[in-house]
Amino acid sequence: MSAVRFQELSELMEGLCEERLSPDQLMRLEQIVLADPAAARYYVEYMHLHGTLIWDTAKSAGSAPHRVSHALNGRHAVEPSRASRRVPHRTGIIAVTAAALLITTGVAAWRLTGDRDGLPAVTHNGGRSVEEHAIPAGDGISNDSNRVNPHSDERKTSTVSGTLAGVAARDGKRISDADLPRPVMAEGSATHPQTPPPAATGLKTSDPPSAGVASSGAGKGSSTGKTSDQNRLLGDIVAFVNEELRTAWDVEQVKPSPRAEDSEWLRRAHLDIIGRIPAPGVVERFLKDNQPGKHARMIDSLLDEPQYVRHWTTVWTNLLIGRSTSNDVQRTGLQKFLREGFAHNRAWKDMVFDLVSAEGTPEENGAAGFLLAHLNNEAVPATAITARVFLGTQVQCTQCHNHPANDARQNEFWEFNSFFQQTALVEKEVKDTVSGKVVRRAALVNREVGGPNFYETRQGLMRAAFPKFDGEQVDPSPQVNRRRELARLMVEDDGQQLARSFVNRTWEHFFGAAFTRPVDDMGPHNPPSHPALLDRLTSEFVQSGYDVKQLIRWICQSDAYRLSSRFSDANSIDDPAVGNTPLFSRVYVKSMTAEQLYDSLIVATKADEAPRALSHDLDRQRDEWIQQFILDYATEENDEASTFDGTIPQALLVMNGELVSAAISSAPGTLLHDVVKDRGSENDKIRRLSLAALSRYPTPKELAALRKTLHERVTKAPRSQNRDVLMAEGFQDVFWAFLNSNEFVLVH
Amino acid sequence: MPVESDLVTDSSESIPESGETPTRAIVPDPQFVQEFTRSQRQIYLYILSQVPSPVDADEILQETNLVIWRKVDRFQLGTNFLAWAYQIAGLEVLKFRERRHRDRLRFSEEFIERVADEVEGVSDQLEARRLAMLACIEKLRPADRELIEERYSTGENGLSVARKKGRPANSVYQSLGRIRRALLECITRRLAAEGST
Repeated sequence: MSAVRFQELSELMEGLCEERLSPDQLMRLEQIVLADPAAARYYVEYMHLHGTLIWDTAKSAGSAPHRVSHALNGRHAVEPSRASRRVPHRTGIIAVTAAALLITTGVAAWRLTGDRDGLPAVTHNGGRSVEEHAIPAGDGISNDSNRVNPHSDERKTSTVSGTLAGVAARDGKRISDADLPRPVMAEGSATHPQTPPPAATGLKTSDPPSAGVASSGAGKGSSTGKTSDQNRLLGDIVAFVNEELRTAWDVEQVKPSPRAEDSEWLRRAHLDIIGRIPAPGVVERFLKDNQPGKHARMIDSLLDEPQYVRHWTTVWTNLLIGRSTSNDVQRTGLQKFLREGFAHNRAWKDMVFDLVSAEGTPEENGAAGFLLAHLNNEAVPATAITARVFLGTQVQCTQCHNHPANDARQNEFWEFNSFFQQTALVEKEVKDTVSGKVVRRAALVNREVGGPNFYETRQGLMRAAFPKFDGEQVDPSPQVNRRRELARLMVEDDGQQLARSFVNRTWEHFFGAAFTRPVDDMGPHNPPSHPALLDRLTSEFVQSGYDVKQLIRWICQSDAYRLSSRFSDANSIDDPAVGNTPLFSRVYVKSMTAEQLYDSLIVATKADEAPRALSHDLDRQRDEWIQQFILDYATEENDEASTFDGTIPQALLVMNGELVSAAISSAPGTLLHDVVKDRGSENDKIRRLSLAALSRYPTPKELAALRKTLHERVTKAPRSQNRDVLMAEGFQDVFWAFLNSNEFVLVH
Repeated sequence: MPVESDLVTDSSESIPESGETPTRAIVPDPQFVQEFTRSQRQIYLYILSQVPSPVDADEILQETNLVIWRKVDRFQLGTNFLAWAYQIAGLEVLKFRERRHRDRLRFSEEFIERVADEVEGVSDQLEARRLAMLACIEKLRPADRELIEERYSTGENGLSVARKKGRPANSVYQSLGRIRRALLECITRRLAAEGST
């Protein structure tokens, strides 16, 4: 396609893309395109380029274009999910409800703008009010309020109030701002009734006990084993964290956000530490607890929960081998290894040593599951991932050339890669533990080979690379087990990069931002935001013997972790999402992971107690459910793209899937069934649903708006309809609205 | 009933025994959902070629999605989802045009038809073009890559980038034009090379 030939057209296209064409120019463009098929083709190709750039950058963050390009080498087709074949067909209203309400749920990060009068800041694209765009009865769909825009950076304040607006709009009712419930969390405790509704007491017995139940696996890090020395040290470190952050706030002249409500903090701590929201009974007990130190006690008790082990196993399995379950054996083995490690609070460096030096099949040695997943392509993925995940350093770019931005040289990549030179994959015949049959399994072995690795420079020269880590070269003879040497060097490293990287990652896990961005690109070229803090936490972590639970305590007991997620005028610049250096003057909002969403839905709805559908093997069902969001690529980094990103199709998938339909069914055993069946006032019932979904009581305004919706549903229906059924459907809608709110799907 | 739509079953048909809430949901076939999810980008590009503004295109996409979802039961699995979705999107573009009939900046119906045909004709090459584009972006000079990335960061356009950089708007427009043309040429070359090997 010759650019010269279409010079005029391409100039017009420029104007079109920048939206600065005059009507005359637009007409001229039409003329050219209509006159010549080749011009029409050029037009379409141009718009495709423009549109793809818009679409892609809107969906990916930061360095994505760079990463994506690696995926070009071998892209795998999406494997249809197994879970998806069994969804039954039914007809009815929920899908319509879904579509109607869906558009009211925002997706991007959650930001409460400074609306001082407490009215909901339902921000929408044109800044138009909901009132102007309420849809006449019959259409039932509120198109404009808060619609999801895949490439809009506007962070929306679609909280429950936004969703409720949808409920009401669906009823053909015009909504004025005054009718809308207050924005979630925007009010002080005065609006939160602290006394639990009488009907909620019935919940307590069915809640899993939380506080005080120590998991059998809790090891040395458990609260019971703490000595007073440890406590003093804990206090010292937490004080240091507070001091460091406060100093930075002063320097930058920001004021931290106010403290989070207890319910907000509790929900956050649950999601971060054990990967799901708290059960309603736990929330009620925590809110009623007046003893000092209840936050620290809650952290301790969460760390002792079996769910802690499950959550951190999930997090690290995903980091190490991703979410794809294409190789179940490796995955199961690795999970078992991690589970045991986290259950016994093993020193992080010991776990890493095992992972890096593992040999055998995943059944013999679960740790082997990690490298077995990455040995394709001359162990290039293994090299890159080991460096990135454990050491927080990016070497994959230096595979082919010297790093443009840091000191890393191409030889360093291959020297690191050289450690994996002896590593091989052999097929072993083993007896399957379940079937008893002899099956072939991949095993990780070390071959006794020696000498350097060879690579080609950009100039086409062959070079040799000997195994070398952080300046230390290892004996290249065949008898030396190189991976074992690498593992040793990594854990003995004076620079403490292994510890530093883990601290950085764990900090990000809780605060939603790391000291460096990205979290796994550390080094002199990318200085951390709080160097002294990172240094101290790193050395204390090393001192503690790489005690993961202690590190979590230091972070979670800090003042900063107690802060609200909301902006105030005094810290609006503290927003890493727009590229500013994080100051941690508030806890940044995170999206729930697919696993957190799944587990939280189960806790909120008690769907697992329904007789049908979600039964015994929750882990497997969760994995299957998650597979529908995953695409994997066999690339230099064995990337996978999660399509779990909170867009419209995404939300449709989730909210119309089997899971949610089972979750808000009113089958016996589910929460909804209990709430509908149990005696109690409407207010109590709404409170129970709110507590289950959002871990807090509804504000009076929310309550009033919801009751109104419920009533209208009943009064407007023909007399022939059964009132109880209508009310039950009404409560189902209310619950659905709670679950479909931003407040539910975000960790805040 | 709050929702009046042809999809809602007549509630008088099936009032269950009192107390038992019926679960009445359209749960679309997962294959449908997957097709739907996967074709979002293509539908967007289809629409964008027919309206001059990405914001409008986005709005039309949302409306198209709602219609698709409402008509989920009319779609026959195994038939061409994208063709079906294009049809719906096309109608939504026309509706949108009618709503904006006072807008001076809009394409003629003839033009829209012509372009829609063209997009449908090349629809199967779009993914290859996109992959080629990603590779071509990597090949840009760092400064050019940075500029194009900045321009297409969310919420930005040529003007806002110019302001940020303190450069005259026209010079930024020119640079962007040059880079886009370079990308187009690179994509064309790349695809030609792939086709010949």
